[in-house]
Order: sequence, then structure tokens, then C-alpha cells
Amino acid sequence: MNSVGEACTELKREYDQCFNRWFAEKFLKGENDGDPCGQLFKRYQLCVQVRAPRNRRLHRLQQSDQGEGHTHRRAGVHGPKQRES
Amino acid sequence: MKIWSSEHVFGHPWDTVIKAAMRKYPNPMNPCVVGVDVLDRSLDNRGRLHSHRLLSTEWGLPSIVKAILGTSRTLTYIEEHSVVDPVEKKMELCSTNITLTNLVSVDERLVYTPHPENPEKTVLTQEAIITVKGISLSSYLESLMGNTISSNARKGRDALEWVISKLNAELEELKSTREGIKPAMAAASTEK
Repeated sequence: MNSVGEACTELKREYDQCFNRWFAEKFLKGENDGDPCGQLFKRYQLCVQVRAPRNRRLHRLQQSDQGEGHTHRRAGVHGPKQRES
Repeated sequence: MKIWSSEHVFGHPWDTVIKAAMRKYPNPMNPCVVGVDVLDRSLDNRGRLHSHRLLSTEWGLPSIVKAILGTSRTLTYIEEHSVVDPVEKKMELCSTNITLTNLVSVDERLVYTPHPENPEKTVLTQEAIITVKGISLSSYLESLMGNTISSNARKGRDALEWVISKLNAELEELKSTREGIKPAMAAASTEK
């Protein structure tokens, strides 16, 4: 599936392949030691932020996830380390 | 405001349906989804996977609706949040349009759970709230859109079945490739 920012499609494909494999073979089977696709996700994200079509609400969406304080462990961005909000 | 809901049973176990749901696009039943991006993904401290995605799509409005709303825009964006709980075996997906919001809101919620009586099956409960804003004939248009959503929901379920078949075919191909490699490797090692 193409990325909304067309130039990012290849980076997205690489990330998707990594994620789909982890999701099916580890996550759904309860082997949850964190998403190993961090670097791929970061590269893909940087591309989307720059290239995705301009739309005010879209732009806010893209920015909102960067600044939010999560109690989540960020998979694919910061690896398995626990973040406290 | 129009509320639409349905329940459907897939003849596949929950894991299979969820793998397909995460890889739903592209598929021939939903040619209108032209782009998907992951904005964020994280694991919470209960081990659930949260995904925040952006879909670009042709809205699929009936042409009479487009004419009445006075819009020629066809590309719209949909924001989607999903949570997958691998322990409880539940996937919840919520989506809403983030363009054309001054004209219409479509909020959808899908929940996938194992069938309570048969673990080889999966139940999908799906609901949508449609609101057309600011013009007369809104309830008529909402009704039209309800029909579109109903038909799109059918396509969405067919799409999952298609993805499941494709994933099974990929798995079979992988298995037969591995079976083919084993004797070739054995022959190569005895030649040394």
C-alpha cells in the first residue's frame, strides 16, 4: 500500500515488512519483548513529516503524537524502554 | 444523525482475522483507499498495541450527494486508532474523517473478538454514526450514506476474506519453497 506521501512508499514498505513479521510471529503469540522495527519506523516517519500533503488538521495530527506524554512504551520509536508520563 | 450497526461472523480464528485486518490494504474490494500511513505506534503497560494511522481515500459519496453538498473534492483523509489486546483477544478500531468535516462526519467503530461458542470463528461488531451538517435534506442524505456504508462494510468483510486467502497462499508457497530447499541442501552437502 502506498504512503500518502508518495516518495515515502519504499521506506514504508520496509517498515511494514518488519512490523507485519513481528506482529504475526511475536506479538500475537504473546512474545512481547518490544517492537524491533524502531530504526525503520524513524526513517519512514521523518519522510512522512516532510512529504505528506499539507492540511492543517493533518499537520496537527502528525505533530500531536510527537509531543504527547505517553505512559506507553513506544514501539518502533524508542524501543522497549518504559516511559513515565 | 444516522446510526448504523451490524454483526458478522468470520469462519476463521481471531489471530488469522487480526493479521489480515492489519494488512487490509491494498485489496481489490476497496480500490478507493489509495494511501495508508502509520503516524504512531506504541505498546502500553498492559501489553496492548496502539496504532494511529492515516488513510487517504475516495469518499465514495453517491454523485447526488456530491452534487447537493456542492463539493467536487474526491480525496479525503480518515484518521484511525486501533488497539490490539493479544491476551484478551480483542481488537478495537475507531475511525473518523478529518476532511470535509464542515459537511459530514462519519465515525466508525469495529470490534473483533473470538466467537464465544467457537474459537475457530471471529465476531465483528461494527457501528457507524453519520451526521450531515448545515443543510436541509440532511436525514435523506444520511440515509443514502448509511446505504453506502452498509455496502462498504460488506466489501470490507470480503476484503478481509481476500487478504486471509492471500496470506494462506503466501504461507503455503513459503512452506513448499522450504521443502524444495531441504533435499537440494542435503544433496549439496553429500557432494562435498
